Amino acid sequence: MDSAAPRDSRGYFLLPQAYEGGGYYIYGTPGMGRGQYAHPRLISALLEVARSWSYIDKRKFGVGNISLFGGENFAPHRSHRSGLEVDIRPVRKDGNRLPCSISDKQYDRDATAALIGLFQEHSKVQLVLFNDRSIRGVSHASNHSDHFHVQIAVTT
Amino acid sequence: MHQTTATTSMFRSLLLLSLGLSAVVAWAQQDTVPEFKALRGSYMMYSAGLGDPQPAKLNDSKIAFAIDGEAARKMFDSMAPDVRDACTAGSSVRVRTKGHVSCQREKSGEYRCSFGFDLRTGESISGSVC
Repeated sequence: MDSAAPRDSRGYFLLPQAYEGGGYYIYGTPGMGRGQYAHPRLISALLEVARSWSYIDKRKFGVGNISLFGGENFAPHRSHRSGLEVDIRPVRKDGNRLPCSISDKQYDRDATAALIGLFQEHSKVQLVLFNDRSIRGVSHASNHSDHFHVQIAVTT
Repeated sequence: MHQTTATTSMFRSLLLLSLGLSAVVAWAQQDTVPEFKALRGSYMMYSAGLGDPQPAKLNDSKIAFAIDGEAARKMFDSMAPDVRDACTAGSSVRVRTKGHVSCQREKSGEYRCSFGFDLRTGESISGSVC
């Protein structure tokens, strides 16, 4: 399958694959958005954060894996089946749409903290996993130095 | 009459004993004669981190395995107890980890296990991410 169906068997839609102006860009495996079927609540949260982000920074932030068509197992993820979890790349100083780890010279801690702050301020965000302990409110988890994981609450 | 009843009772006892012994022998054989069995799974070769994997390179090559089905169930059963996993907390998913080996039982009864290796060093590494 080269391109992803716009809607999956749960009725979940693909995250819009482009955002005009600032906001976000998309990445992740599999490509072409096939790992970005999202619960409507997550799509709303991402669009709201992207809008707020675009007011304070011209760089786009990377939105990665969410869930596969129908919520199938999403190796290597232990979660990412509900459409309510999303991975976000740390912000790079150069703004390039490339991977970035907290140990990279390109890692922009202040900008990443600001972006995480926007997610944490959102009423539906329940948990942020990230390994930069200098950022307030994040929880440590293995393999979370090159992205932060955002979990949206199942119920309001 | 009494003799017939006693004979029937003895026959039943012998039958039960025989069945019990057969089960013990079968269990013992299974336990003492390990055999390779086919398994179901997938793998990914990559570089950089598992959370944002990039194509494997000559100087950075890692592999992650994900297996499911019977092999994953047996691994899960051998890795008690459950551990708390922030990533799956509250989702009815049960997680067990030992070192870099991680197994989980989904609410649906599916089992999945993962583990990995750094192919440049042979080091055991995690095969899963939240």
